[in-house]
Amino acid sequence: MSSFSLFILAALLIAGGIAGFFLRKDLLTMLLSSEVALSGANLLLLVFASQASPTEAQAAVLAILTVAAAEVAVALAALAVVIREKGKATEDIVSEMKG
Amino acid sequence: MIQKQIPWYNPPVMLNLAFWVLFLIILGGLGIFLFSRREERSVVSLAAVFSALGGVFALMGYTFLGAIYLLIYAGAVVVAFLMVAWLVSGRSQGGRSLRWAFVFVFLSLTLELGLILTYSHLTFKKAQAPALKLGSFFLQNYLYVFELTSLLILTAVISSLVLIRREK
Repeated sequence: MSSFSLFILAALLIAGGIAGFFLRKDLLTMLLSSEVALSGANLLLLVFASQASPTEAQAAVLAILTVAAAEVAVALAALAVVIREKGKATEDIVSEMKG
Repeated sequence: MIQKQIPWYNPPVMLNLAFWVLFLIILGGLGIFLFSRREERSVVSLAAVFSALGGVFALMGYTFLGAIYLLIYAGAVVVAFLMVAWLVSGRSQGGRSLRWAFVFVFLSLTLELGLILTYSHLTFKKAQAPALKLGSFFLQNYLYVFELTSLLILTAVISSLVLIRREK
């Protein structure tokens, strides 16, 4: 398990997340894609920091994890509201919405 | 000590092998996630991706983070996504194959958590205990950040409850 293979894994996760975000039309999968990309970024952070300051990197990843969990809670609630109001949650429906 | 008991036990080779198995699981999960048309299938495949990623963290030496990743991401977050996926699809429990996939993912999560805990127990040194170091690091250097994140979670919970509430 070299750093290079970990880089490749992180790159795959980030690329998969970005691809999913732009290829899929439903909001749930778009949100999931952003989580995948975020996981790749977390992995990259840990790989870069493993030589210098592993504890600080772990703390940063833990903080990111908390923020991501909070974001998921709010986003899923918003998604549930959109589904309740419109019947489905796709990119087009959200583009039609006005504040 | 373990090496004496098990002659074929070779930590670097086994770690490499475990990493490549997890790498393949992540690759397969990502493929299913990207190309599956059903939301539930995408979510269940991502449970496998996140749990395998937790395993990779544990293999890198971040056992505590790996366990947390497994519990929070592959456990709580993915289950919340699955609930919304069921809401989107209109099916109450998904298909039969999906139910089996869910059981399989649940069992593999439990097994992986057990493996991480065993690995952590075998390589445990009290002076370098990750949770102990992380806890003291947070409380000594980033106490305000720690408190702010708890406030953020509280705000997120309240705001999601307000969002989901039906107006009379």
